[in-house]
Amino acid sequence: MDIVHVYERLVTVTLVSLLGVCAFLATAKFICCCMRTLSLLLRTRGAVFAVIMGVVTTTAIVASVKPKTASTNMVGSRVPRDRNAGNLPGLITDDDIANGWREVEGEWSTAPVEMPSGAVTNELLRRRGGCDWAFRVAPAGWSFQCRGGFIDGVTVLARGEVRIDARTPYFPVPIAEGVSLLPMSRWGQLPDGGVSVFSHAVTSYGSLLLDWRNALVGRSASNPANLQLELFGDGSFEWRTDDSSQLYAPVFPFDWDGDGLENSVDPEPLVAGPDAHGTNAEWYNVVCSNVFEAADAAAPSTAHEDMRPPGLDLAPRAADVNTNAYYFVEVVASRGPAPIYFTADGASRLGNPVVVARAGETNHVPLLIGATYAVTSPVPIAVEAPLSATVATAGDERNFTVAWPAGLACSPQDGLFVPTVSEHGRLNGVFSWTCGCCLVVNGTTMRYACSGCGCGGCSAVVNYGYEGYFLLLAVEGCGCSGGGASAAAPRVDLNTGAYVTVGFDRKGVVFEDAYDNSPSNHVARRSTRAVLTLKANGGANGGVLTMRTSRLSRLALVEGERPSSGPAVTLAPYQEYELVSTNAGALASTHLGDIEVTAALTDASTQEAAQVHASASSVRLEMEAVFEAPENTACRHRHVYGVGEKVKFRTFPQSPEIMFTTRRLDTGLVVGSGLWDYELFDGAEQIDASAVREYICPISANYHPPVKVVLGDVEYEPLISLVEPQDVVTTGASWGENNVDFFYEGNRRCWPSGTVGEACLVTTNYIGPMHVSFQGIAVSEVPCEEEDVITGCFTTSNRRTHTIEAGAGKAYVVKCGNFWIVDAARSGNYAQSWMPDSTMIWKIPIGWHRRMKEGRYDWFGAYGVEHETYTGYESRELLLPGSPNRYKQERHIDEYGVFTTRKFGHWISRSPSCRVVLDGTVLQESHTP
Amino acid sequence: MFPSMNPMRRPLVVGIDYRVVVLVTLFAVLALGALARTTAGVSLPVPTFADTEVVTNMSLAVSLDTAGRFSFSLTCVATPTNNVEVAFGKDANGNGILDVGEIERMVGWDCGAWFTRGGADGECVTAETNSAEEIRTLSWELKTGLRGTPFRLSVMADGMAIFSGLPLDAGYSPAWNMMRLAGRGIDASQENFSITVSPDSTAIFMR
Repeated sequence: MDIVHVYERLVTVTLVSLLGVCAFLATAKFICCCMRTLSLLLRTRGAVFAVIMGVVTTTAIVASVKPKTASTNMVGSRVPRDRNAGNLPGLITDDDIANGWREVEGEWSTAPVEMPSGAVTNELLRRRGGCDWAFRVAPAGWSFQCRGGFIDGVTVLARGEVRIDARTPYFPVPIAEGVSLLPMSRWGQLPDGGVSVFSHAVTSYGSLLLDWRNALVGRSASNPANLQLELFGDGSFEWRTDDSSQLYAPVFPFDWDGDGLENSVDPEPLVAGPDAHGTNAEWYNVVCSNVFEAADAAAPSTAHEDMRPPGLDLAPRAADVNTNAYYFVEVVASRGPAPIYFTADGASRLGNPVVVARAGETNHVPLLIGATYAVTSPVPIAVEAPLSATVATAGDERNFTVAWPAGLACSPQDGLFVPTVSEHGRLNGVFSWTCGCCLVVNGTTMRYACSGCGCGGCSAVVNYGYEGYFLLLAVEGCGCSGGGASAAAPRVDLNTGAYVTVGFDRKGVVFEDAYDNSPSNHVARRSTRAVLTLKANGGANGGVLTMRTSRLSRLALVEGERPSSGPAVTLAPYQEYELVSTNAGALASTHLGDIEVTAALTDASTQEAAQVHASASSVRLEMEAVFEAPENTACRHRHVYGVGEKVKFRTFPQSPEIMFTTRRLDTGLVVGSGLWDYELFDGAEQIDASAVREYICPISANYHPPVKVVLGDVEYEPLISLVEPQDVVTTGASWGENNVDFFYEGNRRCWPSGTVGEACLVTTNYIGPMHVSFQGIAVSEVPCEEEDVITGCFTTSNRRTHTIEAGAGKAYVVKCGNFWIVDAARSGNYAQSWMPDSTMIWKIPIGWHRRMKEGRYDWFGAYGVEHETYTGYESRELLLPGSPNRYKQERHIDEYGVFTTRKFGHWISRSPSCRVVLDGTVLQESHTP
Repeated sequence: MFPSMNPMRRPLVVGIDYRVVVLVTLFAVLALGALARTTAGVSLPVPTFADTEVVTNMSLAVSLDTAGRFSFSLTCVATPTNNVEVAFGKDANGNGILDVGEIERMVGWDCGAWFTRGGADGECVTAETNSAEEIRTLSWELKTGLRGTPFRLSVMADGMAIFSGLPLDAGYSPAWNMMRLAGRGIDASQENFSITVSPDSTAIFMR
């Protein structure tokens, strides 16, 4: 390098150095400025953060937090947002809304829940703390659907932020710059002691919990607070702090069927209605095409089966509070951008949408049918009274109710009835009927064949509601249940005539989370119902009613109103007070009876007090196939099984009070030693659910497993369907060797040159279909005494049928992946007596059988004769479709002595000179070395 | 002296060889000619927050030297409960901060092991060296061929080769223009660490 170059470098470096000094000084000052600003921001905007961001504002900063006030939108003690500011709630931005997120208010936990056992603590943060540090949380087997795909992990920032990954700030969460975690060595600085850790866990219902305990607000040890994010399976999530929570649900403008995905199955059911409302909004009435059928004859309709539960139970989505239907309203603003707020008159899973309406753009807003919404906006809005909505105007607010007319009519055939739109008015009603007839409260009469009740004159209540876009009916049991019913609701009466009573009509609920029978066959959550009733009367002096609930959120509210641990209710003298609700399973109980409701009534004058208590349980059933289906491996919780499959049953909680029951229906089965106990739970028709139990499906699809989960007076029947073997799937063929029938000339595996003889055809065979497992059965080539074509030299063969002596009658247990056998089809040497154009065809029926507990058995062997055989024995035939004509083993000798064998779709030929051809490919030209 | 300095390296301004130029905007670097190599280090801000974390960002312009090398070394006090790390990346939004989404390579010491990861949330590769020393050093060198294709990445820590399975392109990127230094769980009055980027005499010290 020459001196000029060196000089240039020197000047450059010096200038850079000087710049560096200046930059440093400026940067240092900038950093200090930022620190002060941030601190100031946190102080003055603490209220906004607390209200809107739902993250962490602790007592140290909350001097300016608005006092909590009651409102019709309040759930628990949540602080209302300041709608009058004319600005968007700061929790979500325009970009967030454009990305399809919105806030909702739902009846869910408002405080960080206790982390389940097995929660994983981040060790690095525990040891040395941190704030601006990112790490990946991706629990094995956990994922959630999001925008047409699956997310199997998230990136967490110690400062209290969660992202899809480091580069994708997808969640509309506030960046809580001031949150951090203390190193373990400094935990003594926490004012109330404890630990400062981050942990994560997957809950029993599949959500992901991310939990910060004693996180430092403003990075100050004097401001610890708890922060938690729960990410649910449908992509919704909720942030929780010690005193507030905020639930988010994704909104996908074209996710019409509400499954969280925009895909081809989204229907186009919307029919433009004649009504206009609000800012050029148009109402869309959804055409109802659902069909209600009797319980034992459910058949799919043309409606979306995954949204319509088979059978009669309503199947609300996980964590649904209100199963009222919803449909999307199109909102078009004449000018904008302008926020439009929709505030419902009650809690619901859909919450209160906020729309950023831009001029000329169409926004889809999901609103509940049957709810009343107050619409506010800083821009003037025009409200017209639609044909099917109720509109009331009060000041600048518009209140309207989404009403979808409904009336029911019943066809006179087979108990079927089709709901049709025929009346106006809000949806609300209870149907009641007795066997043989139905009565609709609103005046429409229907008939319903109450089949399967068995006790004559029984009656049951049918509640109706909307799930998604469909009218669904929930039918309770026919009232014929046996013992173990829940106790009558306790009631305490005071001397003044006041009383209080509370109770569940059943011991609880049994439910199953959604599962997939296959990637394209999704079954929504199913649950039984329990009705909670609380009643009180103020008596002569009036009284104060207080209510307290524990873990009631483990039940999802289907309909009605239920008690909450809120402010006391003052009852006037002789005032009646009643809360009735229908509930379904949402979360599993930790132990039976842990869902509790207590009501206490205190006389206003005498102070005499009465207290009643009721409890219930929420039991979750989980089923898991023991064997993997080779082409459906991901769906271990499928309810579609191959005959004979083993299924694990477990409940959450496990308890000897919960029973698994069934009945063995296949009376043809002989219960013998060494055989599997089909159609039983661990060998019994009834067993308690104190442990995981193994059920073996029937060996024939003719028998529908009457499996039930029973808790006292609660019965739940999972949906199980069976698949019988349909086909032999051959994956490969080869020229067999090591066959003792063959001579070896030199090192070649072939009959001697000049002779006419068969080459051995070896095939690898599986039992299909492959979306289930057949490891629960054994399959054999059934001995057949039926001859087919026999010509030429084969007429003198002593193996003209495929008998046991010819190799049939060996039952092989189907192995992993539905593997059955490697079959070797070979025969003898016909050199002496061969004739041109000779043919022999064996018919080979293939059937399945029960399997031994271990090993296999041969027919006529040591284990005795299998009674389910084709001919010559008793009982029925168990054959794969189409046999015996379907499977054959064919032999043919042509005029040149070429011997061809065909079986399972493959063939092999051998010439007298030992030219061997397999499926058209020459394997060997001759014996010539 | 600078413990991380290779005594065989020559300062930039001696003019014997063309070296890598490192632009440092936050730290004063006085590479004065051929005679003196005085680097005035500045203190990393004392942890002002209870979580003890301190983070500093600095612009960086790094290119390969004529020998086709990029290297840096990190020296620090290493304990089972502290974290010292350096992150490289491109400040895509130009805010002067290497944000979480802009980090492409992180290297450092974390609670008892050396680590490296691609991206802030990338898969973490760790290595424990059985050293009893309190002050430890990690040296990172990427060597390229004639056309700039990386062909060897060498990472040494406490005298041992580590991270031998890293892909070569993990070692360097010409797009990197920012470096972020962070420390956690440290007691600033006792611990110190240094980072030297490139075989140049330029050294950045943080005490």
